[in-house]
Amino acid sequence: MGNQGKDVRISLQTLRVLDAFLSGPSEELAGADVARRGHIASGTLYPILLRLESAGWLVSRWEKIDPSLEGRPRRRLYRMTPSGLRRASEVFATFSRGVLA
Amino acid sequence: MNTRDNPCDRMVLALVARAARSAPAPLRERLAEEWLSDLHAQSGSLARLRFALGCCWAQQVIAHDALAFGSAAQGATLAQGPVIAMPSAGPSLPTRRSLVLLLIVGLHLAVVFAFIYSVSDIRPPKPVKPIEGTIFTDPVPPQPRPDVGRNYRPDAGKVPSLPNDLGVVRIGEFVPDPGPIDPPPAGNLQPQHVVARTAGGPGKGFPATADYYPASAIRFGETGVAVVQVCTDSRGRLTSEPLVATTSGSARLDGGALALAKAGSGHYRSSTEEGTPVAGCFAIRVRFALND
Repeated sequence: MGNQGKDVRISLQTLRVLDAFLSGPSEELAGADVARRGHIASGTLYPILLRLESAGWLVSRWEKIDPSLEGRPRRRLYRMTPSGLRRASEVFATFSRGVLA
Repeated sequence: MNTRDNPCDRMVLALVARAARSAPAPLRERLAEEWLSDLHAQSGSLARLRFALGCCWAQQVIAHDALAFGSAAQGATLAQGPVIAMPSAGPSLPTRRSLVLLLIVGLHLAVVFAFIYSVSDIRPPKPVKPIEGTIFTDPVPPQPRPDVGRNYRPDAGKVPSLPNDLGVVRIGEFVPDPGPIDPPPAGNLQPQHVVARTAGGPGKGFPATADYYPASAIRFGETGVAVVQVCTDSRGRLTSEPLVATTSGSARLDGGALALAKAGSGHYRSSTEEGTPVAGCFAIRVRFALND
């Protein structure tokens, strides 16, 4: 699990990613969805997703579809882990949500 | 997304594929499929291009993170769960904002250095050498002034150059030729005394020009300016017959000017040297004009 359990460096972009997940903690979001919700560019988003996943805040899986039938590649879906949800809540408790505005 | 017709989409796909191929090996297939699926969700060519460029940047960051924690990345899998160890603290790759900030700072430093360099290249102007000069008066000892006026013949003999450099008009005055002048010895140049001379002219009680305006010239409406040379003694009296130096264009007016010059004898302001009246010659301008 690598760095699971370690703290993640919290940046403004990281907060935006977490905020996108916290708006629906049980939702599974693809990278494009997170980018749309958090207004984050792809160049910033994917490294953050990988770091959060590496730290155990997120988990991911492939979308269960048949690409040939759907006519598109399958998406990588991310979801917050319970520990990630708890730690993200702690982070937001210390930060003002106004930062995300 | 139809990639067959749109060259922009083909370029975007190529960018994403290239970015994924450049990612760390354990992540290549995953990122390629993930980015392609997310690219599919983008609407508009510009958004897709922006996304593809972002993937190129993300690949750089991910590669940097994987390089920093390469050993941990060996255990990453393409399946569920964490796939690569990522730094959670410590130094990270500079963000675009940091790069832009560094670029701005660098440009400012370049401007400052360029300014300093340009300023240092400016040499102080060389001090201007003060203008030096010596006014030389006639090096030959002053000789007795010859008789002025009576023996004067403008067309007889050699016409000497007139020392009128000090504003003194000496027309017709005979000045002996000093001959070749030896230059003064170097290093012994002493500023010599400059004689202040003033030219004479019409003085107090000088007749009015209108009284000598020829009646015939008035009838013909003749106007003009005649220049008359006169030579006077130290008391302002004529020492010779006045001569027309510059004609007015009218013989009547020239005659009137000569008559005026003669009538003014004794009323001239004589020339002076160092404030002392001296004999000398000068020119007077007589202007004849008719009032409307």
